[in-house]
Amino acid sequence: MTSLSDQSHLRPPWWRNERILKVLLQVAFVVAVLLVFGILAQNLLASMRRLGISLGFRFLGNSANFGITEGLIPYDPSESYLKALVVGAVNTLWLSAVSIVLATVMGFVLGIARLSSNWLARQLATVITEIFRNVPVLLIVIFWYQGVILTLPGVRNSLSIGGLIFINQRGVNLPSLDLSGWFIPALAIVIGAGWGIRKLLLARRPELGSLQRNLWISAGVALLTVACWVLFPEPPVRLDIPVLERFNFRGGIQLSAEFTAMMLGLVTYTGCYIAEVVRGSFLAVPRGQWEAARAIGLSELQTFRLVIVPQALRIMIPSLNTQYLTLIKNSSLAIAVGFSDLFNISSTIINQSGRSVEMFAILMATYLTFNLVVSYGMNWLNARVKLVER
Amino acid sequence: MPSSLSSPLVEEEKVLPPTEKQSPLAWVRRNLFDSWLSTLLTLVSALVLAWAVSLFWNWAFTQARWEVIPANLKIFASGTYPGSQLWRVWAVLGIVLATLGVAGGAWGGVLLHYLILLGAAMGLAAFLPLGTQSQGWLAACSGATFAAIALSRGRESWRLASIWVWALILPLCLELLLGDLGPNWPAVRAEQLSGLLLTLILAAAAMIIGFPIGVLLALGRANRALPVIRIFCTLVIELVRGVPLTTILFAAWLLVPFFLGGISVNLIIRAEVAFILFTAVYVAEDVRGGLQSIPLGQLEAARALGLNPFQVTALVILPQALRAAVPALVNEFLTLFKDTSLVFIVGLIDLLQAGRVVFTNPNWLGTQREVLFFIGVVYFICCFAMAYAAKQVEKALGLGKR
Repeated sequence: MTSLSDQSHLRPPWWRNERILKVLLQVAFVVAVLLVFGILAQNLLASMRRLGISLGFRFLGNSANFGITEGLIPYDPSESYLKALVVGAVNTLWLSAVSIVLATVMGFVLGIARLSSNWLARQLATVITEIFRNVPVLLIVIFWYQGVILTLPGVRNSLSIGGLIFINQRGVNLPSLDLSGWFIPALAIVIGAGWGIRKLLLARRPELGSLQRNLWISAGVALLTVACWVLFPEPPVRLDIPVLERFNFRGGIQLSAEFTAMMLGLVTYTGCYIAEVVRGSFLAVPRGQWEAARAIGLSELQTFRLVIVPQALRIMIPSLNTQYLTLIKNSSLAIAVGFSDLFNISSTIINQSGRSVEMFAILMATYLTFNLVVSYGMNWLNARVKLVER
Repeated sequence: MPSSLSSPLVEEEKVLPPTEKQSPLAWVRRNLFDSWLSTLLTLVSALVLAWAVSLFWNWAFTQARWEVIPANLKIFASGTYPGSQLWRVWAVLGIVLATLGVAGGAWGGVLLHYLILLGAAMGLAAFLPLGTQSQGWLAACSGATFAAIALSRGRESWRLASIWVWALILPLCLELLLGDLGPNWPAVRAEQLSGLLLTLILAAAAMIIGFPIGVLLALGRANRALPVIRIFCTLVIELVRGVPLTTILFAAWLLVPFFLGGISVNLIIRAEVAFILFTAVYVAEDVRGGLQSIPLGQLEAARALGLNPFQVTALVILPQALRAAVPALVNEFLTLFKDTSLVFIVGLIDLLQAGRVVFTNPNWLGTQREVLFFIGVVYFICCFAMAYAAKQVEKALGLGKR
């Protein structure tokens, strides 16, 4: 008869004990990784010593000495590398933000057109999405730049849309809204008045329906807006229309040819991917939801707005997030057409200063931050719209 | 007897669903002018279509200088590869097609259809006035394809061999493309691989090498028993995924030499490593999705049968996970194929860059639309063919059915 303590020799020996093996395996893995990184780091330090450079971020304070063709924030070549990087990052964000908004609009239009009962619209949308999804985004960008924008007429013979928008080789000139010092007071008056009218109506005329009430509020607000325009010494908002001067347009918003090409390329490419996401999400809403909504007496539009869209949005958001992240990363293709985005400016700085290690650290950190911020925003949205479960 | 009562007297009426017989006019009304919204959509679409078609028509038949395409076919296909050594590229094409032909004959299916189509197209192209050398090689490649198909048609026992043989064929092709083959045929520098040839090599190598690495990364990330490896894999995946491919390529170009301690590694190989890394992390995420779709019961059942952890993964979990991941993986490979065009960052000349070389040539100034259109068509055909083949494979695997 064997006692309990005698069974200990039946246990597997330590070299076949799974728990010990796991620990050993991981220790070996860590050692191997450290070894590889150690060798790499040593190589790095050796080559840096050979080239006579040292690691450190102090060079960012040096004067950049190169010009940047366009930027949302003012910049001068005598300013530091850090300032140049900030200009590039802002350009990347501006390009990405505009492209994300327009690509989403295009994606929704195309995606819904692909689901429409109209045969022609469906086929047209299918052809467009298939074309743009099956060629490289770089090709699309270059096509917009060299195949379309650079072949447009010069500044003198700009194509004009209604005398407001001017399109030429150098890009697009859009009218802008000029806010004067009277804008904030006017806005405060209008919002305050709208809120006041609503309060008043709710108290004095509670029998009004919401449609009638809103009509009253709108009328009041419109009247006050006109009054502000007339009574203030200077109109609160003025439309700044681009005017052709000797060499180029002045006033309004100017989008350079490079920016326009990048934007069009990113929008057409990502828009078609978003169209697929939208289509897939609407198809993923069970058919029974349509039928049930119709059965309880909702109109087709109500069904769509109140039943289908909320559910489709819920399915859509994670995929949209992926598309937005891809778009931000693809915006680094700006170097192909010479738009001064973060990556383009970083490559110039690397060429000038030879600080590739530090610059790559900065690039990685910046793009990771952008991605994290967008992901965080989309996760927040996702949490807002997701099904509340117990 | 009730049955005898009913059967002779009352003829059983078979009620079929009403067959929809639509007149063309009814179809038009139903699909184009169903409501005022639909009518509006039809009008808008028709306007857009008419505008685009007339614009394209006008350009393609009156302005475009299409002669730029046949005049520069060599640059599109193989870029700066030395013209006197071009036979090597043709020979490699023939060998690859023949090997594919063997696989196509043994496996059948969509691969076989593609090869027949390709062989026929090359056979027809051999009659085009492209110069005797090209015509001869085209005919030979077409012949090799059909011969290989005929040889292996229906031989199912060759199926596995037709995959393993690539381990032999690929190094052979590389040697044939670049190696020193005697006094008349000196070695070709790797940087001279360019054009469509480079695009295909970059994409194929990144898929073949990146895929297994990606699977390993995914398994590492899904492994709860080995937290250190899991953290490492997660870190690699998230870091690489968060950074644009342009940056990774730029790093392969400028940063990697710092870490190699004086060993010089060919630029193409460094760029390829960037593509492999990029493919691996995206494949890893797709495979992880597949792994998560496998119910835990599969793992428990496999363990209960007495399989060890390695067998559980290799024989039970991974096959199912990969099958579930097929659509995502195909998308990844398509993206990779298109993204090989980013090698312009490191100064290599792929298909798209070869096009830019052509239309910046003073003789062909102003032909950028024709060239870009042609390159777009090439990419489109490749991507569309891959996507179609993937759909057939999905059908064969019964995805979404079981």
